[in-house]
Amino acid sequence: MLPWKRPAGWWLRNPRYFLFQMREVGGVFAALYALVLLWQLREFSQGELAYATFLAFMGTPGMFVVNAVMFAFVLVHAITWFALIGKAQPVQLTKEPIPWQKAFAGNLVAWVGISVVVLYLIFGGL
Amino acid sequence: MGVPREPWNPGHEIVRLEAVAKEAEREVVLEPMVWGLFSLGGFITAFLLPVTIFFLSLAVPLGLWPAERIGYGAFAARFPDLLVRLFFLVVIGGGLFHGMHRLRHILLDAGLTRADTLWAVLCYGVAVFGTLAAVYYTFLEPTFGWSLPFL
Amino acid sequence: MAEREVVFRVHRYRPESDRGPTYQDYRVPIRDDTVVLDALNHIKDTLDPTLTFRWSCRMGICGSCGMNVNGTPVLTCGVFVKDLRGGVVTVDPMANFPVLKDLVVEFDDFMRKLQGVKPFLIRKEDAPLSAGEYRQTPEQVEAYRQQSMCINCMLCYSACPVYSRTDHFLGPAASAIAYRYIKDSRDEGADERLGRISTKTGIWECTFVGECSVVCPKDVDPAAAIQSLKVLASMRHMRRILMPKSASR
Repeated sequence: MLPWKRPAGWWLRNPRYFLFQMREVGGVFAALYALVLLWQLREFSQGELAYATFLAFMGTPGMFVVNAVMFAFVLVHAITWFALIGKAQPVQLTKEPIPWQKAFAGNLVAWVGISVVVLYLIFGGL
Repeated sequence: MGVPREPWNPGHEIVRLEAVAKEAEREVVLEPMVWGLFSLGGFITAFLLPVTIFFLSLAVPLGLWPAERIGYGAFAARFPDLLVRLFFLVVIGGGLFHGMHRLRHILLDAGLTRADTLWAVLCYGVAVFGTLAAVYYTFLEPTFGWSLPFL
Repeated sequence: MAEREVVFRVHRYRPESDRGPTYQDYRVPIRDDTVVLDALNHIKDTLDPTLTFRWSCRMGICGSCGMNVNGTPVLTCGVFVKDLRGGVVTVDPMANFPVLKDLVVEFDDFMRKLQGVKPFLIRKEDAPLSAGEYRQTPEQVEAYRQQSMCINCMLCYSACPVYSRTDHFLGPAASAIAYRYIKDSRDEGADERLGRISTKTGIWECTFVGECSVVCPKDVDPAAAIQSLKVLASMRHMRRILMPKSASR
């Protein structure tokens, strides 16, 4: 018998495996930014000075690059997620199943709409 | 089972025996829950997080908005709004449960399968603790003025 | 049609004498209409009768001739040699299964898991034969038709990186088949199957790599089926926690 085991590093062998790993890493960056938000809330609760120190640190060029990288990975996560959720439809809402490309397009439109709503309701408009 | 036997139905007995055989394995309790939270978190982060990062961390350094838009005053003005606090709680909890589940599976995919229990405890532990901390900062601390020395 | 020679680098493993696998090169004359399986049969018929591999129908129906060609799991009867890139064609047994000999692998794990999801109609009460067939509308057939096309060729298991690293995974084909019966209007075994796939050897290890659906020669979509199953199993789980009474009915 020759048992077969895929060695670690398999995700570099095939471009699709690599894209899969990028997608997964994108999700982890969402958790990282959630921790940043938590930290922001903590500094906010500590008062004006602590919050200003936090903002100053987040405004340094190094942190801007980190934030931009996080943003890029979260975008990868968001876009792949919009593509994936159209593929799993256990409960059929319409008579004909929706092709995933259509669901993907619909999700993108909804995403833009929700982003604008969030900008107005949560962050106080443009 | 009391199912009436038909005179001619080859294979029927075998199929029935198999169907009646009790499944030995027990259903897992944790996995459907963490997957449900992972999935919910996936929706939350995909739809809500990009605009949040852009507004809070990128727009001001890029020069799109003046710095006071994200300053203490602006934050303090918006934070009493229940919806704003709920938004932060949902985004933090969703992001943590989504990302930590993925982190666990990245570690498993990298071949570190022996320590699965450790990864699960660490990853979901961070998610649970972070979400509880978010509840504290969004609702308990501003509403009741609770202060915990270690948070 | 012009003939030319292509080198086939074929995985050899003889359990009686070999301590591990080796590769053997064969030069095979190729025409435009030669598929990889034809080349293997040419090797066995004229060059080396000891080469062992499975095949049967030569037309993509039986699902016996699956192998990894240049690292990708394919039905060898459906891949033209002229379409393969590179000077050498490497033929391996399907990945993620124990190798019995040369290109032949052992499927026992899949067979056990397939039986576990009960791939047949489950009825609470069997209708007598005199009542005739269980009838369905074309729409009801369409609900599961795609997922019912599986020919158990196992290419999806060979492509799945999750199955490669753990036994605690039901795997793509068995999951797609479970979903196929859950979506069948004649079937009443959804709860039973969802219970089976919620176990430790169920579907929770899947991370939606999606490669199973890419390699499927029958356009079954196991990746989507597993995600749908996860949603259903997760909802069922929540229902059982929140409303234990109505769920136990």
